[in-house]
Amino acid sequence: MEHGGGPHWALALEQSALAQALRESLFLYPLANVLHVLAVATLLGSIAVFDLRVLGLGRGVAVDALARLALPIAASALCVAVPTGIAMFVAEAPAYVRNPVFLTKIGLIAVAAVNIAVFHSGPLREIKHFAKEPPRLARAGAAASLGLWLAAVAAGRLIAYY
Amino acid sequence: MRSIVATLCASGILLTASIATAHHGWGNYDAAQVLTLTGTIRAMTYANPHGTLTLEVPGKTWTVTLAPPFRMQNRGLPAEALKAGTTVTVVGYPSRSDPSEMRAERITVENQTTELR
Repeated sequence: MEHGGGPHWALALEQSALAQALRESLFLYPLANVLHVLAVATLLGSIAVFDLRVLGLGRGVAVDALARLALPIAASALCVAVPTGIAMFVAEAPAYVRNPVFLTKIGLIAVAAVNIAVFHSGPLREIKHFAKEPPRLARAGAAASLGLWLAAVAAGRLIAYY
Repeated sequence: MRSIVATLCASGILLTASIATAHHGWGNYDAAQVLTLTGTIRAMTYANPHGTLTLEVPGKTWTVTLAPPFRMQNRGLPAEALKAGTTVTVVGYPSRSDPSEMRAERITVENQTTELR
């Protein structure tokens, strides 16, 4: 536990039963950490494969079929990454709230989430017609996605160093 | 495609090699300044992601960052060994940002030394 203050809600989270269990149990925190890393690796891997395909790599692979495989894998991985991330966050909430790299990571994920929403409401509906050349908007979304997720994961790893 | 892969592999190897030759310090801790502190434990957290001691030495109270509890338990340093009032010696490095914090490389409790890294 770090010393020093923080916003009320963060201090309250740190006092929660979940946070105490995570700090005190020998295996809960390492378990959350391992699951988070595995989920993030799966998430970034599946997203990168899809984004690179939309950007024009591997034109021999049907893009709509790839979307049906890669996107559910990414979504499932996100469903593991978020709760395990929240678990590690609450264990030391005030310290994370003060950490500029953590805040950067959350900001990047928020923008990436907006990007996903935009992509799903627009380009993804026309994916059957991507075969030859995905539209410019789709390629912009894929490029943004790739950059945002790479940066978010890098920031995530760097939290420990700030 | 093959040339992109080759370029990425080569730059990864080069980058790692250059970091390996340039690396001296240890993140936020000043490894050039080795501290050996003997004092009395005033408070202790045996908590994830890493334990801490509040260690009172003559003239100063330090926050000593330890290892993750799982590692300490594994190496024969249970929470019971670090009760308040116990005299311990820690060897480690001072923080560059917090003048009252240090990160312990090893800790000696009653003639038993435990490596923390």
